[in-house]
Amino acid sequence: MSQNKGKQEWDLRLSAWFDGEASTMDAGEVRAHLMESPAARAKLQEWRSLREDLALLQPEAPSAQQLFAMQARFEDGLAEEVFRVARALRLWNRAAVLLLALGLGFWVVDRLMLSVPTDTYASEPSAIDTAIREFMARPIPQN
Amino acid sequence: MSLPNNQPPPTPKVAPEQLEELFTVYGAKIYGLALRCGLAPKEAEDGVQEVFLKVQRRISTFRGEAALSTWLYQVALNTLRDYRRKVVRQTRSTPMSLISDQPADPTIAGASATPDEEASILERRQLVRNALDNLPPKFREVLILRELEGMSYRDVARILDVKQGTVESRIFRARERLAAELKRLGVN
Repeated sequence: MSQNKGKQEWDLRLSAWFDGEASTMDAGEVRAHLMESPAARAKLQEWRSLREDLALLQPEAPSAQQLFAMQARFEDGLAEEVFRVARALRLWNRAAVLLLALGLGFWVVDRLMLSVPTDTYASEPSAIDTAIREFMARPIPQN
Repeated sequence: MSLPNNQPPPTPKVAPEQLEELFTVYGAKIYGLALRCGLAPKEAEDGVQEVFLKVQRRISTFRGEAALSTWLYQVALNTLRDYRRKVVRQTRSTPMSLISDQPADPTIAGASATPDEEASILERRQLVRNALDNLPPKFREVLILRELEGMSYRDVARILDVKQGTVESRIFRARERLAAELKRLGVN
């Protein structure tokens, strides 16, 4: 168990050394370990071969023409995005102005026209008023 | 005048012209990263476009704590990861290696190689691409940043937002997984 842990620790140190990330002291110890351990040397060889394989995936740098086309596309995209945001803002502004105008309109109508008190009931007697008045005007029957 | 310890440095302001300048400096690098992530040239161009538009939207979140290039790579890697996923979904789970036909660096493929040697290199490259594609994203990304982008553990840690020790062990495990995958695919 502890042997495995020890091996894993060495592998990690070896990996960091392989990447040039080990401290000077660590590098010295790793080099000494490499001298003693054939397994460590085999591992190192395996990683070198992996590195060579991965290097096959290095792509060709883009041509100046390709870069220019990409930049032009990006600038178009940027302009389109700015235009889209500006258009959205303009629409929101219009909607807000419209809403405000409608609200103000309703308020004005309500204040000036709809809420003016009407005296229709007081100035024109209704049928029931007339009936009551007629009833009150009847002579009281004498027994 | 020094800032108090708990106060983040002021956010730099970036004008559209500066964004265009950023594209001039980093456009080719991000395009290369997109190809290394397994995108085909056409998709890589679209990916670069997405990355820089996202940079434009998110530039206000850049606090200046890390280098701009680190922050840019962070945004790029996240965007390209999402974009790659989208492309794979659209092509109905076709492995990226099958649609990625970017030319390899001719200095690596060997300009003076015979047609047979060239075919063998191309075949090997395809198998390596497949093996890398088959790794879980966390292992694939760490290998791309370290082995193909040539970044230090510290930069990889910053970009992936993990500790340096995590990068160290993840790179080791990624190499082990890649070696096993290559063996499984019959690469000696």
